[in-house]
Amino acid sequence: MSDEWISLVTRKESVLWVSLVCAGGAREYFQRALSWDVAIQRYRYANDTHQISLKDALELRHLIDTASSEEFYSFYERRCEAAIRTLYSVTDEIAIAESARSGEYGGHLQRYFEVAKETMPFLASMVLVESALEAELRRQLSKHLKCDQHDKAVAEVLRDGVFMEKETSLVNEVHSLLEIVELADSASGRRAISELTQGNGSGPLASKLLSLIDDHLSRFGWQQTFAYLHDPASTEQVLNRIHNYLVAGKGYPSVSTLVTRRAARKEKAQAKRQELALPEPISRLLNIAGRLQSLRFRRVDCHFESEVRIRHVFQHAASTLDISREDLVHLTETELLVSLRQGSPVVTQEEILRRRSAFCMTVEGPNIETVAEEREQDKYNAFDFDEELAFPLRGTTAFEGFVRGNACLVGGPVDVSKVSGGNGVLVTPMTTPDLMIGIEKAAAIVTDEGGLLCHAAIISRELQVPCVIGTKYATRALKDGQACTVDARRAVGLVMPQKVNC
Amino acid sequence: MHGSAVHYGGKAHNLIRLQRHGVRVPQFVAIPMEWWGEPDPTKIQYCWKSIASECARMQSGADLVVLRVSAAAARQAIRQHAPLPQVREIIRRWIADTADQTTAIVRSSASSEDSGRVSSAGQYQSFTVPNTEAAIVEAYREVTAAFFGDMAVAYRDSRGVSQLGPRMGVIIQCLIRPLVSGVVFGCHPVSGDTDIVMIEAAFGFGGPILAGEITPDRIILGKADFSVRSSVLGTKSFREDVRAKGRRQRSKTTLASRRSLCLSETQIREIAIAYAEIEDLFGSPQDIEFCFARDGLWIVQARAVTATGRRAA
Repeated sequence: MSDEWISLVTRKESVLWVSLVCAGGAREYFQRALSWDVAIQRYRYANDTHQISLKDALELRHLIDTASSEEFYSFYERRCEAAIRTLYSVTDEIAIAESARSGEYGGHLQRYFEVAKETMPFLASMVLVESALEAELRRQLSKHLKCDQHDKAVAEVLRDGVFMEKETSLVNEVHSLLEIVELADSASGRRAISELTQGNGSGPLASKLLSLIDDHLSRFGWQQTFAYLHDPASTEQVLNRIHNYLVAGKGYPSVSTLVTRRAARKEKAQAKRQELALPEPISRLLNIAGRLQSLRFRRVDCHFESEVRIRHVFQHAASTLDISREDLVHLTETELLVSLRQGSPVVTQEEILRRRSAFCMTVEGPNIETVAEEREQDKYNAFDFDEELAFPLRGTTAFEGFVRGNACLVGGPVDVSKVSGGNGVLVTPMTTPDLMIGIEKAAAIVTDEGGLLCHAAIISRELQVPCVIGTKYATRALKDGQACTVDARRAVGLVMPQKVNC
Repeated sequence: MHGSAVHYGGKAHNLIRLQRHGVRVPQFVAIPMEWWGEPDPTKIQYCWKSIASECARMQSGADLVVLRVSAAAARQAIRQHAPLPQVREIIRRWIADTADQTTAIVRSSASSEDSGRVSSAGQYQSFTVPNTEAAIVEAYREVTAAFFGDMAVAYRDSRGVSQLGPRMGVIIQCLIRPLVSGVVFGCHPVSGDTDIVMIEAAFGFGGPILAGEITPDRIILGKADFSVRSSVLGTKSFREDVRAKGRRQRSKTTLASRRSLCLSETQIREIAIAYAEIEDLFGSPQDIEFCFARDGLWIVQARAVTATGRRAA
């Protein structure tokens, strides 16, 4: 299997147990959450993003495409909402549990992992679901507007029609802070803030402000953390921000202006939507698309917030094992739980160091592989995510025909001798003229890249060999020698490997 | 074959006609293929013969190694041969005429290439070099030697074109630094429908499009009124540009540029108008390479459409 990956989420820090859950262990969670019989076989973390292998992504995308319907997308949305709600409520229980403070960490962590895992199928599939929905919308819109799927008109509807409640949690945080600022915007308020920032405020106004700030922190303090890696915001930081607004004289926008501005934006978007006078089904799909996009942010928020709320549990676990809290993320779920049971880490300090400094971590089943060297980076570039990711592979027919044969993966002139026997399907990233002799003997040609007017296409027509170009990932989705069908009888050429595990 | 096509080779012949007709082609000079000279007839003759016999054996499944060795020997013989005085003279005059240019392109114009019967698509190389006498002479030798490129030999064999008589005209051309390049095709390449014009285009140099290394945007126009019938976005995953001293540099394209067409509506119309004029000039569907630089549209070359996807009856 070649190293091709699909990026799912960009994130600055890697939490290994998340990766591990996705790699191999997630079959039952996919089954439970979405009734899908699928598991992510290979998972990795590199270039600050979580990635799954192209093969896994293809399988997932196939399932999504098969299910694609309005009912499916709302079902998906509801299930994701439910998983998030459960995670919140269980973390709440753990957060207030006395035993979590006095020693019963293992049990609580295990419980936390259990519910957090329920959200993993959504981490692995959200981007794919969104892109499938976009493809579906493009299809319906192009039919409705009688134009090409990539026409400007379609793009405009997608741009204006999908209204997303973007980063609501960040906006709410600013609102909450500004409310405190407005309250303190008086001579006495400013004095109180000044004194508090110097650490010696007192009196009823000062204590009122402090309690407001505490309340603010309990709701939004987690926002500046990455999981349990960094500390949440402190009272001093909030005081400084208020100080900047009020005393340093930088000014601040009023809460009501912000609220009206946001409402106006939403109204404008809705007005634009109505102008389009779209049929009801498309309109409903657009609504779902907007909600799914917000949901993606909320799912990530939910993780950050829960991990901060029970960070004392992680803190205790770290001190029991005598490793730093930051290094906890480099342990897998099993490693962490077993270590806690036996009271010392089961992973050596060297291994933790290796994982910490790894540029790239690949997880396959129970195996973890680390790549330390950054210069390997080129090799590990993630595959560009594409909305058409699916079996059968779609390309453009350069010469018509229908062929069943065996894939011969050809990377250069040296491999060309593999194409023989009359039913060899030459599969190559691009047919450079070097592959002439292979082309002559091939029953069909399939390429990843290329247009209808490239040299290879012209030559395939001269030699009358059925040819499908621009399939994007045939060389990565087909195995050498695998039986496959090339259907190049229509303008859109299809390539289907036989016996796909989906 | 007739007159000047033999003289300059198909590509140069077409360029000369385009220029005379007032089509905007980059400044160029053509070196006739006869000036290639015959340095050591016996040596090269020997190489041809072994190539010809290898090609015959290849049909019965002989391996490629011997063919490669013969082709390499022929190339070596050509490289060692000093260009004729009149070739040197043309190159010297070119340098004097284009003193303001820093880079030039040296490309092939073979006897069978672009002649209307076979395309020889992509069999011969072109070289981007500094615009100096030494560099161009060097590239001239390489281009003529490329007549015996491994795959050029195999291609000629498969298409029944003679291996004999090293017929390699050469074109020296000013380098255009394109923002967008592409190909216009005077019929549907698969169905053979001559009522449409197909444009494929991507950012930067046209090389990766021709080599099939990237998937370009595809636009289909009606030939009667130049109306856009359909457009399909390509991935256009990278672009190639020419930097100092002819060095080519590849860079990744941005997501935004990949998600929109690389040609504007006006540019598409401009291409359609230029295409119609050229088709009128040559009288048959054409296969044209074009590019847009900062100073507008350039036609880089034109040749007759050879094969389409319609199966021979």
